[in-house]
Amino acid sequence: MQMKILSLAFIFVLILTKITNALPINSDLGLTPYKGETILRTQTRYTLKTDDPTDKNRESEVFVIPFVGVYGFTAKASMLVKIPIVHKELRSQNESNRGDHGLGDITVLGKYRIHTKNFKGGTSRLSLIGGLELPTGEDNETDSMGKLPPPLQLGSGSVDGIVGAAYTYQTLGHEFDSDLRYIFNQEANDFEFGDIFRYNFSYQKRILPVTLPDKGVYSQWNALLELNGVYANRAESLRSEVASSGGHTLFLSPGIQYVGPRLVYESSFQYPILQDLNGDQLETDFVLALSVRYQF
Amino acid sequence: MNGILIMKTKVSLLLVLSLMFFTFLFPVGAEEQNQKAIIKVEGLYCPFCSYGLEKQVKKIKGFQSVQINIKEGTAEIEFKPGVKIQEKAILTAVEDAGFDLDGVQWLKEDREK
Repeated sequence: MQMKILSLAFIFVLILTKITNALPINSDLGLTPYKGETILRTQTRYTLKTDDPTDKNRESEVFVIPFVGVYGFTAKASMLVKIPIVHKELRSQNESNRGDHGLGDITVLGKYRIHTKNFKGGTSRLSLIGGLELPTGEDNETDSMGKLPPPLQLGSGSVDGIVGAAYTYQTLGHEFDSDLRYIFNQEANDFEFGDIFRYNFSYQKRILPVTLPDKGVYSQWNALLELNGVYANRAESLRSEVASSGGHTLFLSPGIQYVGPRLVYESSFQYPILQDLNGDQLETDFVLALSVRYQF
Repeated sequence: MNGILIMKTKVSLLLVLSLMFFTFLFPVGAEEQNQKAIIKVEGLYCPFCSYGLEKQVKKIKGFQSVQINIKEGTAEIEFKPGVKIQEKAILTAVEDAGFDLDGVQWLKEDREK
């Protein structure tokens, strides 16, 4: 099955290279907003997990709507604030459903562009990223069965540091983005999620218009293919490792995108091609993302 | 009597010639032409980023209109007549948009220096 998916992905990449630009959907990018620019982005992300290695037939659904605001203080320095609205639900055969919904942990990130190489019809840029995930989400929620386990809480309860870097190479015909990010999770309520390392690679091709107009500004359609990896260390509860936590997941994420002068509409389907999870964790079936960006 | 007539004719002729001379020097009713510049921009790569250049160029004093050509990596900017345009202002606008200025070509010679 995985070979079939990889083959399809390979064909997709070949098609992309035969066609003749863009922004990644699930990855970050080395570009920064212009001085005084404000970009608002809202996204809906739906994650379904049904593959339960135990006989409890558990299923998990996570629905997140992050509202993101980005502001460019200068052409090189910008700030991002992400406010997520989260819905989590865990269903199992012999137990009642558990979960919660509401405000999640707010993320505040700063980005500074350290390398720029502009040329006719393209650019190459590298930015450094740093910030915090703030404990704004509920982390002590209870239901009829008691306190919800930490993965079902809306927030971690801790202030977590984030560092990373993002690179973009973009021309009129195609774009390549890559970003690496490390999240230092801290302890709260005698529980500490494992640190998380994310790595993303994104390749985009303009599919329409096939031939660029000689004059003026146009709108375009892009096809995207991303590789999105997440590696999580084991969590700790009362200073002991949690067996069913942490692991490595790699998604192959094809997507489509409309880019206008002020608006971007985009959609991505993330399919896991590698899931090496510790213990009896639910495996992800897919993640579906839809988003809109608007700049002022 | 005849002398007065000759004097009046001479004065009238002088007035007409003076009027013609000054009209030639300072044409009445002729409008000042707008100033146009084509700027070459490096790093322009997509419609979404071109909006940033448009916004920054609009901040230049005397701005009138702009047409960005993504494919050519150029922007044709028209400025109001009679406004002194500093090329440094154009450079700042391009750099604040995150691009590099590769050159400015003025299309009108009557631009105020």
